[in-house]
Amino acid sequence: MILKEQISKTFLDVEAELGTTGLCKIVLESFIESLDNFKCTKVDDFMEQFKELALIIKNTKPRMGIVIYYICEIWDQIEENRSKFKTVDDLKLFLSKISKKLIGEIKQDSDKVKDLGANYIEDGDSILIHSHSKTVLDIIQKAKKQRIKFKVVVAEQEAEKTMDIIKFLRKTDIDFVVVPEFMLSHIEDQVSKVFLGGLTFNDKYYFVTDAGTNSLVAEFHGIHIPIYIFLTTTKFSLWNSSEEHSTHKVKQVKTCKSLKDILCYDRIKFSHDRINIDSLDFMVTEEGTFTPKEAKALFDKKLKERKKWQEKHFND
Amino acid sequence: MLVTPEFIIAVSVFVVSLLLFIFDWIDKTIIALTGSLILIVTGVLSFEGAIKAIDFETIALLLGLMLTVILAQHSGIFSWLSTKIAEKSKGNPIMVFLLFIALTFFASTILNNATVVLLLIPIAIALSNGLGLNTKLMVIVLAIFSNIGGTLTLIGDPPNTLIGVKAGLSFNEFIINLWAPILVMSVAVIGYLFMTSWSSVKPNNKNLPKVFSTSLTIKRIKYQFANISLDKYTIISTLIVLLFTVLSFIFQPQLGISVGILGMISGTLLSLLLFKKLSFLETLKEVEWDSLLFFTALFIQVGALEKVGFLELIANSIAGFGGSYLGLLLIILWGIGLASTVINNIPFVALMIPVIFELQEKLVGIPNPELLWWALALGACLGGNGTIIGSSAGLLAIDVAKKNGIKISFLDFMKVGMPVTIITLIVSSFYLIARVNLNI
Repeated sequence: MILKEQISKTFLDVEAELGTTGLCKIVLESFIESLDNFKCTKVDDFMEQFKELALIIKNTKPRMGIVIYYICEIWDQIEENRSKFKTVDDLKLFLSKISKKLIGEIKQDSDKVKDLGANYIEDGDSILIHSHSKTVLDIIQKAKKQRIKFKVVVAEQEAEKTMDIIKFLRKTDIDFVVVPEFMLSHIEDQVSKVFLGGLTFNDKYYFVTDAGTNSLVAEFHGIHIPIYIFLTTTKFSLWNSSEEHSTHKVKQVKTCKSLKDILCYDRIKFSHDRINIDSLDFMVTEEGTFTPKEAKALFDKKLKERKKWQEKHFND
Repeated sequence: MLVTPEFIIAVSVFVVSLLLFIFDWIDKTIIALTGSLILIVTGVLSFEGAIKAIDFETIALLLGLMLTVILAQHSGIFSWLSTKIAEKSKGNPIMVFLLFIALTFFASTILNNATVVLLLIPIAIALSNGLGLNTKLMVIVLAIFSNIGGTLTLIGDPPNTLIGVKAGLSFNEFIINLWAPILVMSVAVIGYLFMTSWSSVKPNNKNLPKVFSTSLTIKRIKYQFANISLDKYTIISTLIVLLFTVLSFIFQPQLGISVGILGMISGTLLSLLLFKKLSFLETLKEVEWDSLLFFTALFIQVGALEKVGFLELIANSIAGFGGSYLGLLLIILWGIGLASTVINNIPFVALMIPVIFELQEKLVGIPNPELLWWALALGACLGGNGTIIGSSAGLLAIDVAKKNGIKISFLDFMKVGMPVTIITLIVSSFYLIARVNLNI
């Protein structure tokens, strides 16, 4: 497996397991560690290698907007301070500091989303959650700490992800009930708000979310239950739509064994869903809460800025 | 020797079973059970005779150790340990290879090889994929070293357990007699692997993307495998019982308790300590009952061969070979070793144990008659490295690799396994030659 494919696969796996915020943290921590282990004597050689790494990260499949954002931030900082680096060790020390600062910023941004999100939970609310999203769970925990009286309805999705959510809610002593996602129509009237976590937001104004979210959104948007999506703006996928986060398709042969017979059949699974922002009511980021129209404008502004940067560094 | 109908039935049943084991069309336990039932129904062995032929001490030892290993596995301690190793290696391919080899080797001396493979290979695959190492080689090498490590102790590999229990050899005797050849062959095999696969293990810390990919992989492995909630009580209980198990085997001659009972004490004690944490019924479900039944049925088949005089015939043929004692040892070592490359070594060992007893009776006055056991143990355990089907560790390793997207063919395995088998058998031969010539 070539290096680019290997890094792409690891990014995709980590994102699926820890979410995008977790992926970013791990990427930055790994970058700091690799600075210690990488042997190089000349600053120019180091920069060559850094550019090679940046190019690989920029071209992973699927592209991870948030990781690219951080690598670009690091690159910008190097460019701004280039004259200060006399030795590779100076550069390594600087990069280590910058990366640590960025890890701190990830937490700050997530905290801002959490604080803002918790304000949308009120006494008597019944919040429907589905995403395996740390941001959403943090928001709920924050509201619980603020002694708001609410309950959570968990839309049951993949067993492992749902079990993680249940463990969290049990640990934090939050009142909850679990309903299979295909039986939600029976409890529509008991839900006051829907909270979702977003993995990315692309230039077609689609959010990438956990698989299964699409039908849930269609159902609750239709009966005018407010739907909130939470993500930091660093997760915006500031690239052309052809490079959007793919909804990875997995084909597997499923085998069911019982004492009587063995059944084998093709089973197709998808890693994510894509949801148009117009199906949602609010996007909550560290920069504030946005209606679909405002969210589009915010995205366009950031995309414009990124394109300028991209032309400068990658000649795209 | 009178060839009676019973003789023909017993030998035919064993030969057909052996052939079916090789072709692997039907589950080996079903084959062994069918064979043993044919022997009882046709009157070759009475029901009482069949029960008498079963070595319950071996079964008790295997059952006890299986319980211990299953419970120890749930403590998460091995995943934690491998993750620490991945971290300590800092992605240096040589260190990754050496540390994983060492962990596999030592874990296999006290745990079932198959368990070691199941626990360590997924982590090794994840790590070696991320580091851009030769993952196939890594899987094959770990399977090989689980067999080499298992050769060192009475409880490391089922053939040794059979030999130890039947021949009354203690845990210590295995280590005292086998540490030297095992150490030399381990160094020789590592040297050979590094020589032939240097490009796969050569460190590369001058390529930032590669170094980054390595760090990323180690981070992932760290949360993936070590994020298991380690429970202090479970870990301490597991460590205490594992330590107790090893010590009780070391002091078994002084304790005067049979190894089978010691194995059962170990399994039962850990079940007792962890009964609140882990369901005993669920633990029982994980016991390899099929393997225990396989052993039971095999004992019945060998018991029948012994009764009809087939084993005596084999012993006479070997003893009448006319060569020296050293020649006899080398025939056993290489004969069993090469046969074990393609045939499950357990039936062979079960068959050879009574043969060796017969040989010892016939070769009165020879120095170091126990060398016959070490030749058998070395041949049976190390021969299993030759091909995928030579050992359960090899078969399981390939299975685990396949589940992780790595396809290892029969030939892939043999290319590494066969030279290693030859090296280890050559080292074992020199060891036996030295002991015979020096009379030690």
